[in-house]
Amino acid sequence: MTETDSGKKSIWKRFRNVFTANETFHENEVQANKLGTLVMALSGVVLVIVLILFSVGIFKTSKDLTGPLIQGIIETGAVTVICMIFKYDRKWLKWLLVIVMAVVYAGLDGVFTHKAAILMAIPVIFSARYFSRKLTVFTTVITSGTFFISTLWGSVNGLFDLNIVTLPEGTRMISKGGFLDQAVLDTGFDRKSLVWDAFVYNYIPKWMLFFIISLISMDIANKGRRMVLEQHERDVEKSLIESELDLARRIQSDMLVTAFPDDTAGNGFDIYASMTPAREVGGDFYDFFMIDDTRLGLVIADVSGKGIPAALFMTRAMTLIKASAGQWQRPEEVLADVNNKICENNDEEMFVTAWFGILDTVTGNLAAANGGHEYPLFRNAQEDFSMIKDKHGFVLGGLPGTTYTGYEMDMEPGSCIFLYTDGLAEAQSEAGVFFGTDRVLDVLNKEPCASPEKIISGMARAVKDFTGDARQFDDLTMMCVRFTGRGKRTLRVAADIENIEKVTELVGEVLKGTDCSCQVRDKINVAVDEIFSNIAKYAYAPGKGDVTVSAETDKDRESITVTFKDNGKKYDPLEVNDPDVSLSADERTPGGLGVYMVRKLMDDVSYEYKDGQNILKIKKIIK
Amino acid sequence: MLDIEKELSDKELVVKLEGRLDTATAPGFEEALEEEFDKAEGLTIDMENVDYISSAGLRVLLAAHKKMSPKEGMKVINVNETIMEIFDIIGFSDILTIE
Repeated sequence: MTETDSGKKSIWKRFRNVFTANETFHENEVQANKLGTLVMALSGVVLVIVLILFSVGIFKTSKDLTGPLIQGIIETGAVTVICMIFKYDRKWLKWLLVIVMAVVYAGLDGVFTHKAAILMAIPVIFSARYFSRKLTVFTTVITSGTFFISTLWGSVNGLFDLNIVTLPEGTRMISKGGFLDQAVLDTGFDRKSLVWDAFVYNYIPKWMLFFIISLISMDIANKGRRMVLEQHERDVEKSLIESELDLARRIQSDMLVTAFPDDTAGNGFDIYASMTPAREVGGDFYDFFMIDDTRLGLVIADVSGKGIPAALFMTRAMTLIKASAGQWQRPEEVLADVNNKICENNDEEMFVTAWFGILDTVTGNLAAANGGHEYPLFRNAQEDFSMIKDKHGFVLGGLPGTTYTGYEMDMEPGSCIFLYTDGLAEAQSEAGVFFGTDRVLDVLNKEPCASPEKIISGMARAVKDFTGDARQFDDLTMMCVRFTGRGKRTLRVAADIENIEKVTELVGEVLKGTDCSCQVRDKINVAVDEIFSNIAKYAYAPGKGDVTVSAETDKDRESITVTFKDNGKKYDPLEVNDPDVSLSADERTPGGLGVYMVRKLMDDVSYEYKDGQNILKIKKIIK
Repeated sequence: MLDIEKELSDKELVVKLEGRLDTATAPGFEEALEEEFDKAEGLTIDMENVDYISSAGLRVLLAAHKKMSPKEGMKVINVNETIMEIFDIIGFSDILTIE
């Protein structure tokens, strides 16, 4: 990296560069430093062994080598300790190591001369471990220098190398016992004459071999460097892909609604869902959305394949279903439309299985159609969960023009539908046994009345317990919807008598799913008529304004409450005195009758004035 | 919605109602009666097919009852349970002639 542009830099910078490590090689450097420390420590150990062998007399030389050996032990030991103190993690340690090696081994070379020629190779081979040609070149140079000095010095002061001794013709030697070199010296041989010979016969051949080793080391350093860089590049790319995958997974999970409304706001339903992808991104999805004020669209689907392609396809299917749900009234029409749209552009032959349902959150009527998806599990009010073997149409994206069969169910309050993908029944234990729909039903029916959230978390726990440490093969997606029967309908209309019919229709729809008798309904209608007409006539007179009417049943659908809100003149109808209903026809006046009737016909009537609004509530017990 | 069917024979007016006699429909009912009051001596209102009646409707009935009292009177027939209950609540069952 730094070699390419180093030409432009000052010598100082180049020099300083030598001491700075590329981040990429940092970890490798630490490892190499450890190796260097080990080499130093081992060298020290070898020297200790040699020293021992000398002192017990196994090694014998003509010179006493105890001093240089101890010096070597101290030097290698010191470097080992320094490296350990700095935890091998300093940029300059590599330089220290190669320099000390070049010096220490040269020192030993000066003493042992021909007996330790191989020492010269150690620093340069070691330097290759750093994958820096620069360091190896440096080591080559410095080792050449230190060994040049040690070879010349050693020829005079080290062990006597008899190989290079040339004696004058006719020289006679007399041995006094002991090593040969002493006999040679006894002839009056002057070792100083050996300096040149040591250079020519020892240093040059040794250096040429050393240079070959050096070249090999340089190549190893170079290749090693390139490999590390390539590896690093691949790692960077890989982590980039991984972070993109992670992002994709997050985008995908963001697409899935995770804010689950419960029925506290009077939606008419509780819902919960979860999606656990087998890989980072999956092809399963669930979706729910209000198609209009009262109809809840429910989707559970499984895209063929997994990973990014499945996720991409999933977003398309999800968007198409939602768009079609707004255009078509019936689930089977929605599926047919989505199927055709997917088929239009599907060269990859991907498909999606989907169950689509529309729940009327007021009446509990559930219309659904199935495009090759798992059978939904359903429980009606007090019953247990069981499988609805609905008629399957073909998968979406399979064949253009496929038609689907819709079906309808009436969900009583408390009824629950559980939807899932094949990842649930096909979850496998470590022994390879499938979880299976029977187990799913068992788990559901242990506590069939639980809230959707509890049902799903309970199921997830059961699956986890069953699969243990086995790998998750397929995405696992579940959705559970409970119809609470507390559906609320709201209507905002102009306070005009003409709109009474709209209001009574609204009330009629809310009452549709209840056991309300005609008589009760008529009484409610009378009350609605009285109140609405009162507002229409007086609240805004002589101007105009709106009335918001909402109708809802209680949880058990045993009563209905209709609320009227208007921003007109403050008026509490409950303050009006009751008319005297015992008067004769001639004495009677029509006024005050309406409110009186409302109070008589309804079970509860309340009024409050809040935030500039008249709020009148009437409640009628149905059962 | 309220359908009004009138039949005048021998000064006896029979009005058959079908639908809701509420605030929206009562004015139409009142108008229909006004047209015939002068011609009729007696009035019968058949409420068999009336779903419910609101105070506006009751007001028309009361007015008609008062108008017909000097003549041969008014009677209401085929009153269903809900409407009867309403008549009871407001004391109309004692005033009107209900058969």
